[in-house]
Amino acid sequence: MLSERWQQIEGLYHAALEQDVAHRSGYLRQACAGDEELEREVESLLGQDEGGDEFLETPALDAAARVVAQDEALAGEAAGRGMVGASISHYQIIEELGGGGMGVVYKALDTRLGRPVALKFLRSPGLGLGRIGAEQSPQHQAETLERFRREARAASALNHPNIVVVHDVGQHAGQPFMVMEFLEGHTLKQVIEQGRLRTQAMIDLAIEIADGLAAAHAKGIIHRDIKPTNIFVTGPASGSPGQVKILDFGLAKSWTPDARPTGEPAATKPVTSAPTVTALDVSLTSPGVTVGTAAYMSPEQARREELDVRTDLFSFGVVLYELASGQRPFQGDVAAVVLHEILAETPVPLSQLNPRLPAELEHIVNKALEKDRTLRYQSAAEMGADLKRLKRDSSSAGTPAAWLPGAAKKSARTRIAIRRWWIAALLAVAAGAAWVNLEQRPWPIPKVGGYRQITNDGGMKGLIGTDGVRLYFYRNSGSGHWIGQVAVGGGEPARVPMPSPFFVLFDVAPDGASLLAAEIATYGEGPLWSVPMPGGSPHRIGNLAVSSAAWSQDGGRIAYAKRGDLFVAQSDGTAARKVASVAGGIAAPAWSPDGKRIRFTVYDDQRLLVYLWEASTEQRDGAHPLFAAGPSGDCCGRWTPDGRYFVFHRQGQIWAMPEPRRLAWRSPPKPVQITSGAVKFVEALPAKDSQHLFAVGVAPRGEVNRFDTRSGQFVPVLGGISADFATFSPDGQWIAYVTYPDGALWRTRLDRSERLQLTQAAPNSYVMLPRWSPDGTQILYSAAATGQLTRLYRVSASGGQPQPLLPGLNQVNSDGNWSPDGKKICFGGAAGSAGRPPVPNIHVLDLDTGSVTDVPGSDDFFSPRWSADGSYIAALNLDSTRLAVFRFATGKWEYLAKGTLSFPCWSHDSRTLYYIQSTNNPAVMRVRVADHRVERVIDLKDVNLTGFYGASLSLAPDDQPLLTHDSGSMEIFTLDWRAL
Amino acid sequence: MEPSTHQVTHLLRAWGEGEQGALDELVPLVYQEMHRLAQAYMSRERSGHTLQTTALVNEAYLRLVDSAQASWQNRAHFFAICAQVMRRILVDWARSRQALKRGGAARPLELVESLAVAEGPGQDLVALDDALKDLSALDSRKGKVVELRFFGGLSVEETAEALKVSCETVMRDWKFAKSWLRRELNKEKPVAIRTLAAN
Repeated sequence: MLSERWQQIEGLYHAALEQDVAHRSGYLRQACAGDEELEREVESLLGQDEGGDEFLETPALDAAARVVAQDEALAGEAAGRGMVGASISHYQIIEELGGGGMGVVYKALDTRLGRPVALKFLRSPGLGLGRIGAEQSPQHQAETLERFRREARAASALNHPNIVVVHDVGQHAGQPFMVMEFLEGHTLKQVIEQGRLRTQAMIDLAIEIADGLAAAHAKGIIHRDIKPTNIFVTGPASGSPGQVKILDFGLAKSWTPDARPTGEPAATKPVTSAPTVTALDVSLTSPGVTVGTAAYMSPEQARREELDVRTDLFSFGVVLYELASGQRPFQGDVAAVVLHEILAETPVPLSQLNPRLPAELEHIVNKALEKDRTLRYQSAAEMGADLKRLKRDSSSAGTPAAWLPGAAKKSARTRIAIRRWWIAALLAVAAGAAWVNLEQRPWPIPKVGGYRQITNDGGMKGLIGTDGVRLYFYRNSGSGHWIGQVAVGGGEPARVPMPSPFFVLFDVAPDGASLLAAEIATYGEGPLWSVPMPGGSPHRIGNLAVSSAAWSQDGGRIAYAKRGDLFVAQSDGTAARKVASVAGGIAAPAWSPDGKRIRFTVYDDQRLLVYLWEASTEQRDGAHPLFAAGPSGDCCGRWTPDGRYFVFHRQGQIWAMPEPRRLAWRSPPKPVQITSGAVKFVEALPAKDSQHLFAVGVAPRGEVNRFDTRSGQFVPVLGGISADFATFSPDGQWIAYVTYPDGALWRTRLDRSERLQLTQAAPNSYVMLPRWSPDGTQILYSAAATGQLTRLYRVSASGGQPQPLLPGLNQVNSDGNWSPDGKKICFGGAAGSAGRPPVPNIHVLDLDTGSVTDVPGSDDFFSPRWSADGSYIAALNLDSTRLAVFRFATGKWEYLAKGTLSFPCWSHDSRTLYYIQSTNNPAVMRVRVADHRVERVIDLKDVNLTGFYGASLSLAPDDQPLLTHDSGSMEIFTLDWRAL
Repeated sequence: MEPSTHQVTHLLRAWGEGEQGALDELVPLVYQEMHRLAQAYMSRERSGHTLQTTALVNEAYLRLVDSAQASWQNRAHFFAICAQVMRRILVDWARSRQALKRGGAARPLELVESLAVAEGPGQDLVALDDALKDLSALDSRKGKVVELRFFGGLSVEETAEALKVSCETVMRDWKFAKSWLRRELNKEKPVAIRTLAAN
């Protein structure tokens, strides 16, 4: 039986809900007729209603399952990483040896046998190491795992000196791992990078690889992923190499995403499917096919046909070619191009790249690289035999024996190659004189021929990078941020899913296969991730936490910044080394194509300085500003891929600096402005072909709107004026605003009469956060200008010379707010600025005495706001995740709301604080001080805001929120440019 | 022991006809099946294949109840039992995880994100379950509505069917109950207040 009281409460609750929000309190008061307890009760229930309606809307089981899934993913990650010191089964992990595409390798001690072993945890889509992209069903996962076990066991049965010994296979927290013999030495990749080996040493290695392959093939086991990182060479990298050990036999099959779940024995089989365009397309778009993997694939692998042992021989041929020449036979920036080359192109003859190689070696490589596998070596043993004969004959010196099949044909080919070399040499001599003159001059000054717009959505965006096919950009709506991509030729932009909304994108890998991003919730630093494209499991790069990062142009290294320090590390995050240290913050590092230099943007929030620096990757003390002339608003530079120009933006235009043609130059190169005119361009990004530039064209406009709570509509406040920081005067008759984007302070009557400019607009200076004095006679504001500290100023509302509020204070003072009696001003650090102010705390200036005191316990806070009744100062904590109030009555701080918050504003009755909640369900929210009750006032999900800080919020006299909508445009353009 | 569909159908009908003892026999049978399905469901979710709770309850129904013998009302009753059982399973699960959390293992269990509560203090299933008990004491139908919708994953229509009331009543009850629960949860866990000593 329901109580009468309960029915009464419920009835009033529903009746009140039918009223307009504005009328609810009045209605309730009347309906409750003095029954205050009833009124409070119903009001408290109504207050629960507004804060987003998702509460309980997801069924409990779904929510629980998601929590479990998240936990499992985290546990899986923990299982695969950071396990040093842990014991797994009878293996005690000693140190991490490295990580890569396939997983993480640890050195461990086998406590039973007392010997060192290597433990390799495998990374795979569907087995939980990654947090997204886990798309296999449990059954499929189980099958994959079983197949992995079976094949790893089969591989462990291989007993050959040139195949790494697999001791054991196990599973830990759902992650499969294998236990291998512990080896000291290097991968063949490292050997190749060290430079060319002596031919003899190279042939020795090749023979051992062939022997290892022959032994495995004899047992019916195909490797399928022969590449330099899977071939280990014991002993030191340079000098005479030790023994070859082929790694990961049998894993590729169970591990490639496209593996068929049949697990049939790997015997030689006839080709069953003809190559088709469709089959090729499928492999090109498969997630996780990176250039590094694609480069060693056989044509039949590229076509996704049935494989036999001959696939390994082709891949071996590719490895041998690279070992002999230092470069890969099939190259390309993206996997698709590489695969096309494998299928259709003949590689540059080895003899052209390394004329000193024995012709027989070239013949062996060519035969291994036959696209038709029936023309290729038919077995590793056959190839090994040719290699051994070559070793015998070349070590006994003399001309090649006549045993080589097709020797006549081959020597003809050699002759042609030699003739080509001669022609090249003659041309070089002929061009000699001119060459000598030209080569010390910088590249010619480029000119922009024309431009074409390739996006058309108006929103604020910035360019991150390109893979040659797509442009990646970030999109900022003022209340949130997301990553998008658009075809380089234009088209519909699409969102790129990121593992969390806090991912900040930095770079696109040189091969286009992954994105470099950090998870940074507000600002500062966050863990660095590599996110594969177009899909797959992202992985952490080492344990790095960064504020900015970039890959080197060969993808082998990364540069990353932590505030003012710049580091260089291997692409897996190891071997980090500091290369520069500056005052301020570092953004947008860019590698020179040769990997020897890094240029980066240095920003100094406190003085609004932005300028370019250069550091050497080889010496620590080589960092210096790029231009001796000092800061001039330069930002965000990048080299063209051909290394000829360095492009950047300076004060709304794109500039290019030609590089000298040789590293030594006599006079420093001079940058040249290459765009001009009405469209302002920022964020220059050279295209892969070095023939185009992409840039963002900007036409900023801000439209100030009042949110009419009754109609739920936005109503323009300042007509056609493009403005930011609009603020009502205390009597509600005037509005102060800052012109956008030129940053000058104005005031006007509501009907836009009696407009008066109060500060001069100047390049690189900007007025922020104007506040009317309680008597309406003065306006307090913060102003930032390039090269100067952000300071507070006062100006008479009827015009006159602005005066600095604290001329003697030599530190940032900004974001000032009047006390209600107009006798004091509270102020703080640089509110909302991109970097953390060093010591944000809140101070109070007594205007009568001129003394400045600190608000107790305010070390963590900025953005102070004095309530109209004088009881509180509200402020945000350092990372903008909490809103707090300081109660003068108690002298203590109290947290009111959490989230990602900005622009707190007091309601005129001092009972409620409005603020912008960004990132997660962006909205204008309000929180009641008395009971911390939070309400959603305006949904900002599809609202684009703008302004100096990307948004601003203030309240009209009736507490209706004022917001600055983005009515400008910011689009991506392609610029054609020609070097004259 | 697999319950026979006949057995479950018989018990359902008996319960529908007012035989309270039938429920005592039904619940363990349904529990067993729901537990199995819930576990399977969670692993599907883990691997990215989502399935709605409603579909799960339907699956249980198909497996446990001989639909040829069961009436429309039987189905509604069955759903009601499923919701009740699911509540028990999930609250037990949440409780065991809280224990884990107290033991310092795993990561803290807070369903905040998962329950998609836009703002406000953290909540979990255990606290919700307690609040729901209080609500049921005041207004048992509203407690049922929440149980059916949130734990059983039932739509407004299905809930109305199970409770033999109109859809409109279900929606009003749902709205009010959510406000009431949210307020209760906010009361139970006030926003953490950190005070800083004056200087």
